[in-house]
Amino acid sequence: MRRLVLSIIIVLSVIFAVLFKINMKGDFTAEKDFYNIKRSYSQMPRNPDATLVGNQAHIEKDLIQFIKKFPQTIAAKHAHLMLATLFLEKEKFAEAIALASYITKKYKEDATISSYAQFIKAQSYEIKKDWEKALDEYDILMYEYTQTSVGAKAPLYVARYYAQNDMPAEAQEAYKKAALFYDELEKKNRDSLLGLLYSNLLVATYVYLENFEEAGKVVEGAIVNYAQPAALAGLVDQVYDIFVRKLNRPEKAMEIYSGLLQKTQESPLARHIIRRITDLRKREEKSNDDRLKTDGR
Amino acid sequence: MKYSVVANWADSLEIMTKRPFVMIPFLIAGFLEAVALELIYFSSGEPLGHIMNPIIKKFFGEAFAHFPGNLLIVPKLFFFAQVMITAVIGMFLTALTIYMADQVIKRKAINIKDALKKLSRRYVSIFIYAVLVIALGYFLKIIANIALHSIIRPMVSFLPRMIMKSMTFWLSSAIFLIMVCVNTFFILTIPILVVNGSSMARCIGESIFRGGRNYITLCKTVCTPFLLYIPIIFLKAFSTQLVRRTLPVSVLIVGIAGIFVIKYIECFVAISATRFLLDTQKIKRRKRKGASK
Repeated sequence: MRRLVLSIIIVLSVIFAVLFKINMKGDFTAEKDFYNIKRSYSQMPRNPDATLVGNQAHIEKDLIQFIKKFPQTIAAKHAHLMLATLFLEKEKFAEAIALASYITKKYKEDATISSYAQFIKAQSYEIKKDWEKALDEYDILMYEYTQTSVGAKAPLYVARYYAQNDMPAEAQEAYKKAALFYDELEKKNRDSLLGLLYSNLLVATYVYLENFEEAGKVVEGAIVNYAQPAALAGLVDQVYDIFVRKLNRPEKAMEIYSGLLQKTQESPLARHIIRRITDLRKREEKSNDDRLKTDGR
Repeated sequence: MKYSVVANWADSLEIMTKRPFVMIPFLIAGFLEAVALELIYFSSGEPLGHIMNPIIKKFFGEAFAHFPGNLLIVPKLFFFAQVMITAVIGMFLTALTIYMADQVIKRKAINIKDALKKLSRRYVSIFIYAVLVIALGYFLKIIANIALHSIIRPMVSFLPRMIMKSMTFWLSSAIFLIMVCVNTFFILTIPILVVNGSSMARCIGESIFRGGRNYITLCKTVCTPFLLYIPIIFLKAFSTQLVRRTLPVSVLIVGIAGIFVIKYIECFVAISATRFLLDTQKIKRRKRKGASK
């Protein structure tokens, strides 16, 4: 009996040891180690003055060791990106730019990773106050990584930069350019998730341009073109923001919601729409009450 | 005459300590489950990942094919593995232990070859019974979950914070004990099959009848040992926190420890149930003899 128990313990230990050894250099162990580094990184306070310099240096060292140990794994891509972000946070711009360039070359098949690296490169130049080079990099991000979330947002980001840095003429020009850019891309990618992304960015651009009528038209078009429940949930809120808050046309919002409700009965989306309709009715009642009080006086 | 539960336990423990070979079938079942658990732990890696990752991505999602999501589905995958092992061989091995315990109690020689021959003839019945018990346990778990949640939900705002934080543990323990209490009606099925050799349907019927008739005594005999499993339920309920504070492999260690603890308890309960059956049969025979005199 004792021999049997011992044999069982030995066999289980051998199976564990063999599987552990096989996975030592693989994605399985790499993901585990990278998860620990990510956890330390996320727990690090964002304000570098409050952080012990040792903390950031420790994570940098861990990331470099991790990349050396697991160079061919999927987690290595994310480790490279995290290291570039860390260099940017520590204002080691030369290292951030060099590493970002390396990432865009090494992982050029992975558009998502490359687009983030390109963004880090552009941001490095921006923070260094070399706006001309930053703009060149943002242009690369915009035209070569259009189909990624980061790349798609690049034109709006550039326009926001001008708006926040007291350059209203350049901001207007950039917003108009962004609106044309998104409009063209939305038409090319209609009925896809990318098309919805471009549509949302187009609405955001018109809102920044304070052209709420055009924003409203885009939202109405999106409700027709992107009828999936997941897409409609976000559009319901956009209808409220544009037609009720900006254009003060609650009757138009009510019309759109009534149309949507006919298509989406007995679902979480329908409940969301009903909440919005209830909100609008309360607003209407409140404004009627206010009007009566004013007339009464 | 009142049945002595403590005497039953003492006898069962004596059998397990003096004739430890009766535990070998449960040890084998435990070993198979432990191997399954280890393979599941490494199912996202090499070489099993090539087979398991597409299945995990299809049924659970992309996130669960990577760390740390893969640790969250270890209990679910292990449940399926346990069901397969119990149905295919686990219940058969339980029957083998009960046969050996029966022979030890009757002071007869144990012939493993004969035992395997005899029980192999009843393999299909044992397999069907295992599937029925697993299905019953599964549906009972769902019903118990719904019932407990509907009781607790209105009380949520009144419950102390300490209880709310450990609600997973309390719910898991409650469901476990409910299932053990219901299992009391079926615990004598395999002992009756091995000792009396009746058909499976008759064994189930007789087990439910005897379970109902001697519910309190049988429940005490069977349920109390399962209370020893509560610390393992506690560790499993807080496995996420355990992984965060220690190492990911702690999930595997707790899992394997849990397997062998439950197998030991199940072996003890199987022998206790067999002892109970034989004792009650003896008491019945004595009563009949006394009445005929």
